[in-house]
Amino acid sequence: MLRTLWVWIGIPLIMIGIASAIVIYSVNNPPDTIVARMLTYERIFRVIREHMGLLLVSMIGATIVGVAGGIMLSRPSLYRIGRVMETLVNIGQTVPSLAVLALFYTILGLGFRVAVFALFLYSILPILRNTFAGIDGVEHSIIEAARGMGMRPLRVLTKIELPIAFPIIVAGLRTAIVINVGAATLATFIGGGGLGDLIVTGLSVHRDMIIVNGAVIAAITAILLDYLIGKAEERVVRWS
Amino acid sequence: MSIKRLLTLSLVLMLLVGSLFVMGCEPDEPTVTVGSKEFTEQLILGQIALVALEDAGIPTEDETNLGGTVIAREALERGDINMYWEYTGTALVEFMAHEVITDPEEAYATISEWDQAENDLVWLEKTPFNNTYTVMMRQEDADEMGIETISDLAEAINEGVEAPEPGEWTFATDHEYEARDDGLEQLQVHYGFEFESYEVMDLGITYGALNDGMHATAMGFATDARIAEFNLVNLADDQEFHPVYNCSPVVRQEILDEYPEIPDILNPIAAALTPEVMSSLNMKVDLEEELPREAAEEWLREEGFIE
Repeated sequence: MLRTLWVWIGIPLIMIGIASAIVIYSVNNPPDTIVARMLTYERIFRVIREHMGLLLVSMIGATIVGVAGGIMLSRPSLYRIGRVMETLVNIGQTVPSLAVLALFYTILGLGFRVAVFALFLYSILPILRNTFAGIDGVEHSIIEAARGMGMRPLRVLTKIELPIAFPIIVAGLRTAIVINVGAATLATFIGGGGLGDLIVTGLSVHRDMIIVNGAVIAAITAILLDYLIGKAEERVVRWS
Repeated sequence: MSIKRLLTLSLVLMLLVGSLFVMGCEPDEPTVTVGSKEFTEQLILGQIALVALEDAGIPTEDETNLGGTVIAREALERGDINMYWEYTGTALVEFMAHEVITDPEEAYATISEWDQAENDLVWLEKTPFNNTYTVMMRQEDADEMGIETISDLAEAINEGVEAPEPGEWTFATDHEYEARDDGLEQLQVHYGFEFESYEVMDLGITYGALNDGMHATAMGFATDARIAEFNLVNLADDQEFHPVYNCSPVVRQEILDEYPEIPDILNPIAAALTPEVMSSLNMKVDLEEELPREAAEEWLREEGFIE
């Protein structure tokens, strides 16, 4: 019980505490008017809210589309297309996230929604790839055995393939979320807001304190989310 | 005498003769070496000076595209170059360590007096264009609403005049302008108005965001090529809020002693460089891919400064 509390509340609180300490210190001790203008509680909460918005909306969409797409492509009838898609996705992943944002800026214009859409597309890739690879990697003999026991394809999927592929799918999710936290800091270039506002502003006016605040909050967000998903995964694996 | 010594001797002789030859070729009259910083506007200005001086029969040397402000200035102080175009606001703050001045005449007078006295550098006539922060609107909206200055804009917003596309008085800004002390926040305090909302983005896309109707107003730099390209208009900073960055040819006194006609050549040219002219010259080079020298020559010819 104590251990559970520590894992789920203690460690996250310590991480949030570190970030808060840096924020509180910076807001209360700005070295000049520029830092004071950029680092207010109001502004920091706003960029965190924007960042979480970018992250959650794009990740929820990407998880649904990525997992569903990965499952579909692993079905025998679509399997060939799946192999091709896997290669395409791998190529897609090599395009830098800044280029993806810039591309969608030229097509769709400015703002939060365009940034969310670009992040959504970018996050689909690792999730789709891992889902497909995870299901593809399930031992054929296990599936044969399940079929032999009289399981329908849907039951094979939910009872055999998905549980075995689960850790790999979750690994894809974790990759996507860590990439997404970082890529979302680039949304600021196209008016999407988020923690990138602080980082880029800090760079352009040479104020390290502003950069550090943006970067630390982004880093801790990524570490915390990765940690929590990892722990949740352990829980699920233990239950099943 | 061994072959080896003979060879050495002849080599030394060749070197001597060679260097004498090179020294002999040095022209009797000194050359005006023109430098510039590394960005488009500076390259064009450098070429304008070169073409105009050559046309007047003064021997010149092209040392434009030197790198940043510091490199150009050091080259000038050392005498590696004899002149380059510098901005009043940059020189005041960076070389003189003076505070920001927002009145063009005062800025020019302050820096030119100081540079003459301290460094024997002469600031020729300054340009009417002032490459500073600007608040822009689309030309047709500004014409329709009769807005010419930031004060007019403030009045329109305060009186609740209906905003042009996107239907709200929004403002597109880059990161730096939002944060600066002489930026967005103080601009609104100074002129006594407030935008309904603003959006922070990369500097390069504020012009396009305004042009595409995603914002009603935007900030930028007053001589950027896209102002001419997108048919935008700079609202006059009638209450002198932004620091000034007019540009002047800065020349070493010793070369002016050699060629006292230089001011007569360059002063009228500097006086003709309005923001519209500079923005369209920038456009020709940035967007229409003319060489800085072509754009400079073409403009000087059109204006009748050269044959």
